[in-house]
Formats: sequence, structure tokens, C-alpha cells
Amino acid sequence: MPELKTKIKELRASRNMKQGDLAELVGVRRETIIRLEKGQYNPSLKLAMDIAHIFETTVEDIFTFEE
Amino acid sequence: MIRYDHSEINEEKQRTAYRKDKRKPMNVRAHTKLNAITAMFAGLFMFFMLLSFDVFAPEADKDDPIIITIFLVLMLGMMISGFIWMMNLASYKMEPDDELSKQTRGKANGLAFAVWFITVTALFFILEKVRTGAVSALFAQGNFFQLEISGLLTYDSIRHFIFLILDRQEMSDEEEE
Amino acid sequence: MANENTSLKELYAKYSKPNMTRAERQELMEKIARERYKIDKRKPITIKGQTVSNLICGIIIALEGIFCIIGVNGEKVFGDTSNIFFIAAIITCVVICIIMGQYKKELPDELSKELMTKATAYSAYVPMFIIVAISIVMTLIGNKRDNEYFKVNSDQVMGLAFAMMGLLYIAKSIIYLWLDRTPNSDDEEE
Repeated sequence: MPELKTKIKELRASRNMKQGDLAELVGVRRETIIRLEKGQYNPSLKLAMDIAHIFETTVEDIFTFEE
Repeated sequence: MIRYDHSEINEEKQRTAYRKDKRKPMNVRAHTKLNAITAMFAGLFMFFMLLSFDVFAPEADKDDPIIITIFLVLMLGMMISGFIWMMNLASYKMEPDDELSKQTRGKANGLAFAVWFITVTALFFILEKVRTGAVSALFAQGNFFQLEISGLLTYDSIRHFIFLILDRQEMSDEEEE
Repeated sequence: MANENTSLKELYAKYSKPNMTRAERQELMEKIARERYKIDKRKPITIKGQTVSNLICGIIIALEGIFCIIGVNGEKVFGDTSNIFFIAAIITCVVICIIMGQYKKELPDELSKELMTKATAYSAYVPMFIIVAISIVMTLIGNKRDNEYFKVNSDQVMGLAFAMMGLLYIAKSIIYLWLDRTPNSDDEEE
């Protein structure tokens, strides 16, 4: 069963960005960012692309599925 | 293991079992239609039984042709649709829901409660207007179980119909199959 | 502030253009709502807070419905106090609405919308089961207490409707709060 892994925490840390700041930038709540970082929520394509746009990278770089 | 993973694992198992199953497939819309019609006949039949025995029977002539006709239509509908439903369960494999149909079902469930609630409340008011004491007769102690079952079945039927209506928007772009 | 007002005006101007698809219109509405949320100077109330206030209103509505059912039949028990319950319920709901009006409401995001849809779906069966359970219990109590046959009659249909609505709000709010519980470990980050 593949598990969702994200690099959001590392990318945030490299930019000194808090969860709340990222949440505000992409238009979601902080709780949603927490769940995304823990791999407990599959975001919509739009949200994934918005996050990738903020970090100036691709969706595949941030979100991966690992066995 | 969090609950989220359990539901994903169950979906994966369902999809794997569906692929391995050698029976003919029945898509989501088709088995939803079947469930909707079966539940509708069953729910209406149970409710009509309550109405005819507890609300209309004391005053109406037991051989009233209208009551007998409605009774026969609902009973035959329930038996035929129930039979077809059981035969299809055995002969066809049911396509499992995907993420979009699950979302649509969730929306349909919410809307269905509102529709069911308004319909039932209005129906009780109309019944009371038509026949004073109808609500008291329906809510007699011995009727709770039948009321509950007919309520659940009619709600089930309404939510399946609303799913079919909401899901229809995506079908309009289908060009060939 | 002037910049924010300008961007809001631009969004409204875009919204009034014809030939937009429904999805585009919805997205624009959400952007407008977010801009207005930023400009609003009131203190914010989170979605969980809004759900808790809905829960309280649901409890009041359900209790009022149940008291209405009991009150009509159980005049020997409650007498005229059922009117006091009714008035108190209305006043409490009005006070809650006034308090909620002092705050700006946090907008739902995609996760909270998804969880609310799930909560609504799960909670739909709850009022039906509970109402029948309450009716059975009331019948047993009524039979034992007053030696009279307790019935739900036409006077109580509205009470029954209120009770079901209230139970739906309660079930939906509780299920949503349970689904939306935040993982503990990251709570202290800020």
C-alpha cells in the first residue's frame, strides 16, 4: 500500500516559513498543512500545484508515493 | 494504523477483488439505479401498510379499489425489483466507487436528508389535515419498527436518486463508448 | 488598505463579466471571500469554533423539540414551564447569533469541506435512530408513570421536527470535530 510522503516541512524550513504563513499563501488552514506534512491528506491537484508554485518547484518533487 | 489507511486498504482490496472477479461488470450508475428503485418500492410499501391499516382502514371500506390497487402496485414493484436486485448481486460484479463518486455520494447524502426531512414533515401535516388523528395512529407503539424501516429505506432511495442526478452532469460530455 | 480595496474591486469587476463557467465563478467567489476576510477587522473565529457554536445551537433546538414532545403530554410533570423552556431556547440562540456576529468567520478550505461532507453523510442516520429510541423510551416511561398510553400526536409534529433537526446538527458537529482533530505533535510549532 503506497504511502504519501511530502517534503513540505523541509522546504518550509529552508525558507524560514511557518505553517500558518504557508497556509495563508495557498488559502487553506494551518491544520490542513499539518496533515499534508504528516501524509494524512491527499491534496487536490490545484492545492498541490499552488504549493509547488510557492516553493518554485514541481508537484513530483514535493509529493511522492512510497511503498 | 490510522483510520484513513484502513479505508484506503479496503478500497485497494475491493478493486483487486473486482479485477479478479470473472462475472460481468455492472457500473456504479446501474447498481445505484437498482438500489434506488428497490429501496423506493420497499419503503413506500411499508409506509403504505401503516397508512392503510392504521389511518384509512378504520373508516374506509376494506374493499376500496384504490387502496387495493396501490397495495398491489407497491407489493409487485417491491417483489419484482427485490428479485432482480438479488439476481444481479449473484450474476454481476459491482464496480466499486472511485474518489469522485465517493465525493458525489457524500454530497448526495447531505442533500438527501434535507429532502427527506422536508417531505416527511410536509406529509405528516397533510395527513393530519386529510384525516385527523393520522399522526397519532402512525406513531402508535406497535408501529415504531415499521416506521423506522420505511424511513431508512425511503431515505436510502432518495440519496441514490440524488446521486444519479448529481452524477449526470459528468455523463453529458461522454461522446462514445 | 487601498491596495486591498483595489484588488477586491478588480475581483468584483471580473465576477460581473459574462461567459464564465460555473467552476470559474465559484473560484472567484472564494477569492472575493478571502479578500474580504483579510480586510475585515473583527477578531476571527476558527471553523472548529463555528462548529462548537452550531453544536450548542443544535443541543438547544433538540432539547426544545424533546421538551415540546414531553410538555404536551406531560403537563402533570412540567405544567407551564414548557413555555419557559421555549422562551429560554429562543433567547439563547439569539444571544449566540449576536456573539457570533462580533467575529469574522474563518473560511472553509478543501479539507474542512471534505470533512464536513463526510460528517453530514455519517450523521444522516443518527436522528432517525435516536428519535425512535426516544419514542420507545417515552412510551415505556409514560405507560409506567401515568398509566396512560403515551403517543406522539399531531400537536408534537413540529417538536419532532425540531428534535430531528437539532439531533442532526449535534451529530454533524460532533463527527466533524472528531474528524478534524489536529495531530498533537505539531500543535506547539507557533
